[in-house]
Amino acid sequence: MNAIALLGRRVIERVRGIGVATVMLLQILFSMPTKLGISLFIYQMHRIGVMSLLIIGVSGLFIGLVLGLQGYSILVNVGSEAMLGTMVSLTLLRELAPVVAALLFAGRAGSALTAEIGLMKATEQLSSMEMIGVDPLKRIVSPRLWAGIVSLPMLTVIFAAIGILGGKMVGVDFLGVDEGSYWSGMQSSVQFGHDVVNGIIKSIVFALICTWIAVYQGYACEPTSEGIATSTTRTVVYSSLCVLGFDFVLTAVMFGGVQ
Amino acid sequence: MKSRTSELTVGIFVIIFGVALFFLAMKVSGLSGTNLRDAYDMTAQFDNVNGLKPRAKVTMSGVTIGRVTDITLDPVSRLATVHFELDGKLTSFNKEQLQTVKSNALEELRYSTEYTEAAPAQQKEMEKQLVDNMDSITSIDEDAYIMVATNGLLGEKYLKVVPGGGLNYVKRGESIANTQGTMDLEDLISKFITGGAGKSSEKTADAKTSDESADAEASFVE
Repeated sequence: MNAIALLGRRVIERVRGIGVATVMLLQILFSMPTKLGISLFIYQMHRIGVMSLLIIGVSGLFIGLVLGLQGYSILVNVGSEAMLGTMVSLTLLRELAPVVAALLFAGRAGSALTAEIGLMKATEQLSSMEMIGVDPLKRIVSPRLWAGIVSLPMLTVIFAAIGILGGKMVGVDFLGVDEGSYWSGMQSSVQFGHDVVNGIIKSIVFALICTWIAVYQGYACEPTSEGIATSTTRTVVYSSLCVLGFDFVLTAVMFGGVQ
Repeated sequence: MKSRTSELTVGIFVIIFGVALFFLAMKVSGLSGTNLRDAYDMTAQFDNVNGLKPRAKVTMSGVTIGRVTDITLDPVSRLATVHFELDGKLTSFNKEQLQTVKSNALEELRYSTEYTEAAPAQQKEMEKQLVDNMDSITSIDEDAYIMVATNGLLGEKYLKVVPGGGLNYVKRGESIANTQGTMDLEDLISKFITGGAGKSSEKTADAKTSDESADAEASFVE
């Protein structure tokens, strides 16, 4: 009997949490930007976007290198290593860049956001802000959410570009695929409106999901050290699962139909 | 100071993003706009354009002279209509060449029976019409045919214009009448297996006569 009551309470808690998170998101998305908000936003862009640049760049490079190597060793068996450019670019633009960048972003920036906001809550900084009449949603949460939404798509584009150059490095410079066929195969199969733009749309969705989960988990965490730890873990787990799940749905909508 | 440096790094971040996006647009998707000079549109109807995509190249003797812009299906003939644009600089004559082409055409006209049987006034009219017709000609002659070719054995499909030896030239905006669609390897194999090879040669003979009749029609119109 007790167990059933606990289960029910948990379900109610979760549903309430989704409601609170939605209200918070709508409040932030439909509030007017202020001058102070913009400078805070720039600072958060620096912390969230610029500071993630290194990990995104290095992972992009290595993923490109691996794609080039694997693609070559598979394609050379059927004598069509000229398709390497097509394979590397389409894989990166459609799938790997949005998904891997979002997963890295959830680990690198999302966890930090949750821990920071959670600690602010635990040390009652948020409550004191409310006391002196500053809305913590506007002052703390909003710039971080917007910075995440703007910076992840930019990181994704950089990731894809570096990955394609990495694939070129292995395929063309090390393994000797013809450079002309690498680029021309790519250009004839990649359509800007279809592949590049859809990849960016995907990453905008992932950015919203990742940062939304991160700031909500921080904002709603239990104000204890254990609570912060749980929330940070949840941020990474939920973000990764949501990114992978939404990726399937978005891919089905964008690339599943007959072209 | 802190906000100054963060503004600077965000600026650099945005610039890197811009460069990456530019790279994806230009180098990866080949979205460099139309670099065709003095472009004009042409059409051709194919029985099969399997594998041909918009933005595929159009070549003549291996030189890229244009791009496919659109592929539609004609509901009446149920043939695929391919719209493509060609580079005007590469596919038209310069003044001197145009002069030679005109004089050749006039000479040809003077030897034709129609011309010799016509009255002098009519002859003048015909000459004038001929010269006027030559104003917007391309360097593609009417005997030329256009085919869907494959780049290598497994590469992408593109359009190949094979010049004929005719003295009449296609005008800008017209369509190229002689076409050859995608060669379907499976069709060829199945014909070979079922012994339909004789039939197919009959078919090509038919196609040839129909081409000839089309040519005859064209010259009759002129």
